[in-house]
Amino acid sequence: MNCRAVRPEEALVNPHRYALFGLTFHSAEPVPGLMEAGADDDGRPVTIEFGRVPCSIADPGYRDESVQASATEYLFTYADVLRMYVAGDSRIVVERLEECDPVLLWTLVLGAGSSIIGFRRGLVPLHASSVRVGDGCMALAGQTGFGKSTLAASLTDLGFALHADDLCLLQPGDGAVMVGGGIQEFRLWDDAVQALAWNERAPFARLPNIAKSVFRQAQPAPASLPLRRIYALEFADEAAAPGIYRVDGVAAMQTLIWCLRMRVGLLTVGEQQRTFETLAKVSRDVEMFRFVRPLDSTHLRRWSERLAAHMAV
Amino acid sequence: MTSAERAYERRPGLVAANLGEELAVLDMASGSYLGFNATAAHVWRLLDQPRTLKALCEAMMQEFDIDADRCRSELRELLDQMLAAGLIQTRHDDAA
Repeated sequence: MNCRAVRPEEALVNPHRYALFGLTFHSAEPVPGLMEAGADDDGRPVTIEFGRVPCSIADPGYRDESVQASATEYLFTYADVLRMYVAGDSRIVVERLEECDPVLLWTLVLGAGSSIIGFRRGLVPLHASSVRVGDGCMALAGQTGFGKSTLAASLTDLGFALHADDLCLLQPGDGAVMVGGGIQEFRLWDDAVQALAWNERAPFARLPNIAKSVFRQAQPAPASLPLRRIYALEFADEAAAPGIYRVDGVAAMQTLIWCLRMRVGLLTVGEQQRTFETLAKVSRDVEMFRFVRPLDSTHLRRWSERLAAHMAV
Repeated sequence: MTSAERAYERRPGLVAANLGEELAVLDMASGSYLGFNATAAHVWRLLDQPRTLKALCEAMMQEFDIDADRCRSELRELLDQMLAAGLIQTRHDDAA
């Protein structure tokens, strides 16, 4: 592999503009199937460039087989797909390792890249899907495998509009905590497609080597909305009966931390105090619940309706 | 030195955030977060200045309906836990 540091002259013109997660991206290449934003919505853009990325960063405070992280740089490798370098809070450089699937590539670039950039800017990357409720949104949060996208998709069948899938970048400010809209798509496992009875719908794409389909609507990402509630998703077991339970105080902050979509290494090299205070603010300002439901997906519709009823109160 | 003569104080390098009646504390050195229930949070707030066990007990008894023996016993246990967790430290303080 030819590894060398990114040089300024390698920077490309970045003509493709997207507004996602409350961030503005200027990309050298178009994102397949994604509507571009207008030219007047900039703020401070995140540039996405394609080229060689460095093999290492200076003085990484965190390092493992696939990640190196410092307070200002982040470098990671996704085997056989890409290497990605994030400089500061506004620049992403992507190096393709193979002729990888473009949908998977952009899933990684926009998902991981937005989490890292957002965190660097003092935002909270929540592993959550969100739907619009009234004049705000509500988030369904949890780690991989807890059914965020499936539940959000089921809520869209009940009339809710998708706000963001898989990543909610929380923007704590003086007023309400805001969440930027995401790509109007769901990435669903085959069994989730079955449970939703979406078999007849034509997916936008299939992810290679993963039993997942991408269902995308050709719509721009919605504008940022105030976050009204977070529902942390759990499956019922001997220790937790199905139901919806209010969480507050220290337990709310613990729940929030458990639901972070945090790239490895970031917490150990970032601004710890700022992160801590931001998480505490979100824990205080946003209502939080545990949503415990049966694992059996045949109950999906019934529990989606129960959640919808709770959201309306 | 007896425990009644020791003054307890917060260890430097800790950041606290109120979460209703409860409290979360960040240890900047280790990066670890700790949660306090309402009682522990109250004690932590009292330790905004060095205080002996006796002074802490008097302050707690003004706030909670608890007898002196039980207050002293439970406070000592809590302070020992906080010491073991590196959240507070002691110093000899005749004036406290």
